[in-house]
Amino acid sequence: MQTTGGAHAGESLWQAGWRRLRANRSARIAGAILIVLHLLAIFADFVGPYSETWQDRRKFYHPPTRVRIVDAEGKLRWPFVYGTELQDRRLRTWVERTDQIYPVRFFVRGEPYRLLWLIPTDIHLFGVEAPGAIFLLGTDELGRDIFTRLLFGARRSLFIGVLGIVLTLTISLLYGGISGYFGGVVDNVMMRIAEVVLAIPGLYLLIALSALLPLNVPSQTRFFYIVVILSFVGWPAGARVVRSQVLSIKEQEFVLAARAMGASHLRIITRHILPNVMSWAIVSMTLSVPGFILAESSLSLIGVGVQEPYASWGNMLSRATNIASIARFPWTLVPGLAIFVAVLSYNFLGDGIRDAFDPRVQSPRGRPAAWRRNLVDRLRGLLGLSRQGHGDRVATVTGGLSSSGR
Amino acid sequence: MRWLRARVALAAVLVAALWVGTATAGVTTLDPEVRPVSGGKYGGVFRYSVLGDPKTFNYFLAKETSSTDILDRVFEGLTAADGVTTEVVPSLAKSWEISPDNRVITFHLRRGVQWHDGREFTADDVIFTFDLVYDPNIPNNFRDGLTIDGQPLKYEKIDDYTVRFTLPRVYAPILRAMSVPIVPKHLLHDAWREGRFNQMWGIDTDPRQIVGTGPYRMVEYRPGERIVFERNPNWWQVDQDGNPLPYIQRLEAYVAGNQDVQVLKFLNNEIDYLAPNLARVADLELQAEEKGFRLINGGPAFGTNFIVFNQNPNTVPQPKLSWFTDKAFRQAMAHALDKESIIDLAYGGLAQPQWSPIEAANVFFHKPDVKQYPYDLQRAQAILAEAGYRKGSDGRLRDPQGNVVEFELLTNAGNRARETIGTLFKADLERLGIRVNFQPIDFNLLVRKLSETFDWDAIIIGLTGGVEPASANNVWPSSGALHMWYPFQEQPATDWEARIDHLFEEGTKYLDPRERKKYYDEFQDIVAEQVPLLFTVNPEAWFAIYDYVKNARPTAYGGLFYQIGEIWLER
Amino acid sequence: MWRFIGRRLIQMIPMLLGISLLSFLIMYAAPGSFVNALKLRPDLSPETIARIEAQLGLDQPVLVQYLRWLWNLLRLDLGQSFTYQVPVTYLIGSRAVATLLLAVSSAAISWLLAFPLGVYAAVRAHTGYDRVLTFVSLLGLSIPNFFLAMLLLFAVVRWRLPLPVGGMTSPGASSWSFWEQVLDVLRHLLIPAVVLGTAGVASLTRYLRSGLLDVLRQEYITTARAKGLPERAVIWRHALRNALNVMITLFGFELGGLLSGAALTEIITSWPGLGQLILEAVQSQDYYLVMGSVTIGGVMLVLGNLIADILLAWADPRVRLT
Repeated sequence: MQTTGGAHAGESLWQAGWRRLRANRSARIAGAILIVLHLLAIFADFVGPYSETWQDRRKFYHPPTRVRIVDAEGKLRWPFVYGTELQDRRLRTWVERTDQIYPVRFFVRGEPYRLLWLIPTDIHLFGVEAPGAIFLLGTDELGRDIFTRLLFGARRSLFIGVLGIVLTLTISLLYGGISGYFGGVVDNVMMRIAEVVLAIPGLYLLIALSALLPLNVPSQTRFFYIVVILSFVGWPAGARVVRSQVLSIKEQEFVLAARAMGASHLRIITRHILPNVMSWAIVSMTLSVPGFILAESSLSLIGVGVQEPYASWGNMLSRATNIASIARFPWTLVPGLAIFVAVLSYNFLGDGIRDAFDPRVQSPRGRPAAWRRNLVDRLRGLLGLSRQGHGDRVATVTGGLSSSGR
Repeated sequence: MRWLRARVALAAVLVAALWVGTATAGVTTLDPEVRPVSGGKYGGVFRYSVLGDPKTFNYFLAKETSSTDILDRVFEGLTAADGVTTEVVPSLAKSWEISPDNRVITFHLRRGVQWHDGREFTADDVIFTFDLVYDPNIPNNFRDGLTIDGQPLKYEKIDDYTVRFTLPRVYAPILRAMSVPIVPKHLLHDAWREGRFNQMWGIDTDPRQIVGTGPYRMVEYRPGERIVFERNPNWWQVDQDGNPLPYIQRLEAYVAGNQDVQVLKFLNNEIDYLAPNLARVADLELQAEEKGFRLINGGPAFGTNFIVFNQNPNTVPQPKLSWFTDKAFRQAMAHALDKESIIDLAYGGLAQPQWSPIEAANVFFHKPDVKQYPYDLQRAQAILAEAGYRKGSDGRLRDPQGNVVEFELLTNAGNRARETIGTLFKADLERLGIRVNFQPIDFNLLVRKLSETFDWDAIIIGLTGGVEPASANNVWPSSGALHMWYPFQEQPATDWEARIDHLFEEGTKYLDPRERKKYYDEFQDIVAEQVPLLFTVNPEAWFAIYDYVKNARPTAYGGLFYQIGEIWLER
Repeated sequence: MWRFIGRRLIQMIPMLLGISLLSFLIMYAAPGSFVNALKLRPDLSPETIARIEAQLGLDQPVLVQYLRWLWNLLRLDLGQSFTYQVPVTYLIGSRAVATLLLAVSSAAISWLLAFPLGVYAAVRAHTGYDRVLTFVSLLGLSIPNFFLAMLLLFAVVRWRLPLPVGGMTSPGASSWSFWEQVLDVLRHLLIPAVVLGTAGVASLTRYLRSGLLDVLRQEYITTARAKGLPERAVIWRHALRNALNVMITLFGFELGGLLSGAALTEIITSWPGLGQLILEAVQSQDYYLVMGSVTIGGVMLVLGNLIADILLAWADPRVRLT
């Protein structure tokens, strides 16, 4: 591997990259946000006071419950909520009943579930006693707690992204790797097939494939099928990028040297070629997750995504994309905010990873003037680098297209 | 000699003048219909919105409302239905006589009615239209309603303004079926004879060529954007002072992508009228006064949503079959349906519970005092217990043989109302100990299950409704294709289904609606007792209309367009 | 070069075959067919439905249907839509202009926003400014398009903005002067183009930024600086050149992506484009309409890439057409 300007002595590429990544503040914040989101998703049934399908059909479109510490007489109290009463049945306005006080309790008993899908329990992080209710983010049009559903929705929306990208990447690496490595006719045929799939517009492919889903599947399996379908739309672009990277790498000296020394194909691919592609792969992975999250919301709008009564940010948002919700019940739009935050975080993290691990990129901290001053030094370090040709330019361009969010 | 030639020349000139004179004398409506309206202002543009593009301009090939809604402005039939009373009224036929044996109907056509291109409407057009109806190469919607016991009607032209129909037997719904739109022979006959009728009048045709007799004709069509209509100056309806209707000069229908966008267009005053989705009515009400429009409740509408359990012995396995065919089970299920919550959650509070297979909107035939099943889980529990279903110690309900009761409930994905119904029903049955797997699925899959494979447990689905009870004659008779719980029966499977077959048979044999009503009343009582279909609710029909639109009286049955000729704009 | 073009065009044929066969198979594999929706209508008997089916040729075996379509394709006949019973070419043609317009204008907006964002982000790379600019570029992407479109339409009504709620032209516009009509379409175009344009800004900014960073690092930049050119000129000129490169390459994909359009945005904003048409076609299994559009999309993709490659070869002497 090349040494890069800015690397510390004795550091491997990975360690150098990691160090640079940690120094990148926005990437750190993004990473932290994502870790929190994923943890919340895993522990959704614990953190959420209700269950995903729990509903109080009389309390639909209920606004967020206010948690107070000062009561009507001005006294300081343990955090509590007031009971509420429906004021207008048609307009769905509510008033608080200051005579009904429900203290917020922690580690309460609620709807039963299996912690980490294994341990049966019914303890929730917080809650209030019935008939009080604590709807931190209000309820939706069927009277279900949005906060709880947001957490469960994170499971679907976030994990669709993660699983989907792992699947897409695996297929891309395999397909593009084989195609690029063997070249010739094999490469030609494989790339033509990829182009055929790539040429069919994504949304229509998704819908058409969704219609193929076998019917009587439990929702978990259906969720998995959705991931598979989304990956099916994404892999050709990635495969092409992998292939062009492999094409350029395999002509480099160290590969030729390995071949001359008699290394087998498999060894060459795994030891020499793939690691070079990995940095691109990780960056592309991170930057493509938002595409999956957004695609899921598009699917939900059409009705082929995650189905009722299970929650995903996409189907929650599509049910809230109407005038009543926007004008009078804006708390139902929170899933949009969740998508927003997740997409932003993945993008900043991805950019940070790319900046940290891309050997061509320097990390001059500080003012542009300082950067200019160091320019000559860095140029010397760059002298060993080959010019980027047309193929790579196309490669970079196509690699990122799947995250353009259309 | 010269004076002879002069006289011949003069005679020739006179004959020529006479001939030219009669040719250009024009067609004048000799039999106008006088409407109860007067003093309206002429002119103006009335703007409204439609949810999809028309798929064709050929009424005989139109399969969906996006096309027929547009074409209904342009074409008319021999009869029509009154938007308020729902009764059959004269349209292109000004009157008719029915023979004493009720099998021969003679229609007297309105004289002097003009097609939009100026030619006169005559019996030839009616004969031609019916030729099209019965042509096996033209798959159209009208034939089934004009076929009685598998036989077509006989029809003949008596003279230019008289057509006679002979029915194979007495058939009450026939007058309503005579609303089939009449199309111009002089424009379509040649194409039909050459076998090209199905290629005529697609949406790539210049809209001005679509010629009918109705109050408006199309003048512009921009795909995906709008359809523009112009007033027919020679229409046969007039106001009290003899002025020809319609008042409004132009209609413009804008294509919108979804119902929320329609509401936004309405609030922005880009359209003058809207039939909003019920969940949006509250938002509209909040702005009505400020923006100058009003909301009108047209009363309960037609169309039903229901839950149906599969009783098909060929495809439903035991023990499910024993539950679904058990009347007590179905009645208990009926008590577990929370209609009030459905009304609140799915329809913004603007609907009424439905108990009878004939909707309340069908004011004449609806029987209000059929058996009802109020939402009462304890009652449901009691009925189940009486029939031998008990809750075990694990909270699950078991049938008399000890099988755990659980089944799959399907509906089509994307239909919010049905998804709400399913969610609520599932939650309620959970409390009875019945586990329901509720799954919204793709509509095509659902249709396949209902019409081909018949492998389903319970489905939430709906049907469009109409005023004529016999229009549902592939739903209720046991041999029907849409007799959903067990279609295509060769012999009625149960006594009550046999009785319904008989009632439907008899119900069309009397022309007097009061006679017919007896049969349909009994039919409604049987269905309410046996609950093969658990009806849910009837939504109300609401309309939003700006105040400057005068004399607008929309109804659930007729919408606003039944009286499109009688409204005017005052800006 | 002509050999290059010729070879690419020939390669297009098996690809089109592949695309059409794949899309046909997928749609055919879905249960049911176009006539499904008719089966639930109480007023249509099974015989009528069977007759409709025969008329559309849906009762033939799969291969026969596909071959028939292929045979027509060779005669440049894309068949008739089941839903509309008019030629597929008419349907696509009547909406293609609108989609083209939307694609071009949303691309223009993307570029107008991405260019300054990308250049400034590159110049101030890795600083706080960089992060802020990246954040701004990501705004449009992070909100689902349909949601943003609905919010904007709602804002129009709520705050009485002088913009129309959907559509492409105002009524009566055909009698206006040319410039008035242009302005009218632009007013209608604003919201959908903004929604789509902002979604594309993020990746475009990224490419421009990294491309410019690449360029700025290279030797001839120091040479230019050493020659005494002002910093600004150095940056802007090379930024432009690099942008041209990226633009040409992306152009190929833009053209191909035209047909998939942005169906959901078009539906919400009632923009009369191809997206909505094809979406409905896929959902109702209108085979010929879908296959016609997919085929045309494939052709445009290949042509777009071809033109892009040729332009790139002409613009950048390092690139050779292989």
